[in-house]
Amino acid sequence: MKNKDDYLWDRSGEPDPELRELERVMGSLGQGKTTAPRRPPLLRQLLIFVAAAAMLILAFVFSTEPYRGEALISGTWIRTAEEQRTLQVPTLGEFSLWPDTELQVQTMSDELAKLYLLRGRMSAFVYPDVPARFFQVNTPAALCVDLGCQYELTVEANGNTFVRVSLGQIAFENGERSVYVPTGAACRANPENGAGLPFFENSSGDLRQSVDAFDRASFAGQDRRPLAREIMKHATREKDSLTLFHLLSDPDSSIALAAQQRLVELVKPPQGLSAQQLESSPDDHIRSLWYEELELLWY
Amino acid sequence: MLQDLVKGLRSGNQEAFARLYEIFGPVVHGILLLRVGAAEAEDLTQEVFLRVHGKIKDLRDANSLPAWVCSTARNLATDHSRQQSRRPRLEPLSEYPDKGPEADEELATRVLERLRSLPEAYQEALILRLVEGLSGPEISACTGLTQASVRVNLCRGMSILREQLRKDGWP
Repeated sequence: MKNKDDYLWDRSGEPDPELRELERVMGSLGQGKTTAPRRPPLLRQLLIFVAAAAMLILAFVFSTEPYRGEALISGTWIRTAEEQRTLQVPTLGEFSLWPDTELQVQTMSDELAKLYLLRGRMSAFVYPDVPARFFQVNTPAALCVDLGCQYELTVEANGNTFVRVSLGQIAFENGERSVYVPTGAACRANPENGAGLPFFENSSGDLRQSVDAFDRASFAGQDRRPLAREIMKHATREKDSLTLFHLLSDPDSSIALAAQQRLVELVKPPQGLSAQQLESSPDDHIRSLWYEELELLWY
Repeated sequence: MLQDLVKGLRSGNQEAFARLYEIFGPVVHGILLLRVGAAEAEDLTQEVFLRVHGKIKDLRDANSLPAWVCSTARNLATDHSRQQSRRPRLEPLSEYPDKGPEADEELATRVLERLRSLPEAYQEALILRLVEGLSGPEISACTGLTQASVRVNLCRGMSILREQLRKDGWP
């Protein structure tokens, strides 16, 4: 049966004159059709090797799986026993629940999709067109806010939570505190103290161990300064600035200042920061300048 | 198919890179065009593919390639936009001449501005359909979105765009 939107969808059905005119006018802006000045094409030589690309596109398009939808209703609990379960939610994403996982749908509205992962493990692939912060997963330890990505979240029986991001970025939040976890990075959180320090999973074993020790000491209320020094000693790559950046907001100003000094040694400091500012404990403004400077290094 | 493509990219196969560009070039260009000017979109398209090429070893799941390429394009456009000034104010479409290639080009730029003002979820689907000439199933395959999601975004987005264009005196 024909639908009035078939032409818009795949150009089958009755052509819509208004749409055809829009296609004609807008097509002039398509790839390679604009008359705007360009730099020499870096990829042109590679295109010489293109052979059966059109066939590939067709094969690729027709190999996609059919759509399977699943509605999530606010208040519903989803529990898995020994089986793994996959949820495909239209216009939101795809979610896998590992065995022995317990999850509640807290909010499902036009403004927010919020789940509560009580225990177990879930992986989430949020569709790229879903706005940042629209999809959130609360846990006993921290709120995991999607900023456009694919990630895995594990909640242990005691509420300790671990997130690892394989694509994009999430924010691990407790009240006003926000920890950024980008692609390839991970972070722990516990119910009493919230999120710990993020770290890249391919960072050195020494750095990962010192972050672990620092988080444990933080969660246990122990002296953390010697452990912070260990982190700074083992943070030797530009990407390790992810961990150092989050120490800039440490409540212990001596740790925050030491982290800033280590950052200055490791990467170029943000423009506009005076020597005096770099030698004092960083405030919100300085932290935001650092964030803008460092964000690209983490991608 | 994606597994083979990613395998070829990881091994440095130039033909695989050319295939990647052929498949995803229009999608990347469309995503960029929503966020930067036409000249920048052409240039940044190349940079997106160079970045993808450089980072392909970090991609764990080949099935995530479409979403990852799109995400790379969005991030690069965002970085670029931070350095640019604000876009010009929208002008009524009816104030522009209605004949000739120059008029068409001007009109296209104006419609693009209207398109950029739509809810974000609809922008990409519509620009890929109207500007890059992809069909709904092709958009789905190249962005990683389900066909149902793309269809909804196209239909709802088109409905809003039509309404806005009529208010603006679309011919």
